Amino acid sequence: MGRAAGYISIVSPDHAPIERDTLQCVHCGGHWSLEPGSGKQRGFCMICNGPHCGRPGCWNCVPLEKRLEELERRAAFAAAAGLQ
Amino acid sequence: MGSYYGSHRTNAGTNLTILALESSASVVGKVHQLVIGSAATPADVATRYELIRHTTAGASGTAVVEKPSDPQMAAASCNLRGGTMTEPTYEADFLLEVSLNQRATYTWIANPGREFRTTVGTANGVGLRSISSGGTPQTSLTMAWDE
Repeated sequence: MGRAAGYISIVSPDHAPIERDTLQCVHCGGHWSLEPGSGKQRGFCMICNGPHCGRPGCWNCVPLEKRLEELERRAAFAAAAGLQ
Repeated sequence: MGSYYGSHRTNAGTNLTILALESSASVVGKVHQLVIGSAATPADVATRYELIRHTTAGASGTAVVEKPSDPQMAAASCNLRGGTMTEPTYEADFLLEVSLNQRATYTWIANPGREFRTTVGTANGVGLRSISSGGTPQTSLTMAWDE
């Protein structure tokens, strides 16, 4: 798997340690590990040039940084309006 | 930039936050490591955890004191809040999903630049929450972040 974004390990007395790389969604920032045969549908954004997690909100290209800026603007507005 | 970590131990269950990292008004946290385990007597209890962004911070709970990786570092700007607490308002979508047996220990490490970044504002942050569980297993969480 190219360009892993993270790494997970699961250690349990019941089985050998499990180690996997994770990918990161270029739109929501979430991490997941590949599970061949899981049936989960992922995608690849040709604009961001990276994988996305396949959740409904991530099929349209809104880059992560832009999404975070929107969240911050929303929070600033709520604070200014006395909603928080 | 400082690097910090904090740990908290509480019982999991249905929609219960284990530990939440809250931004400050001008500083964000970049979560780069999570370690989930249990110090309780080993038992087979399956629990699903999710790391989710929140847009309203939790209330009450336990104030968790963070530790800087470098002892010379100033105190963190972000705030750690441990459960059980009045739950934050979470977004619908999670950033990381972990289904785990109580006997197991789970570690997640982000590669540099691939951390979970919070957004500025004291109401904003990320929290690890137990979504559902076959019981109420005691859960220990260590979270490390940069800011």
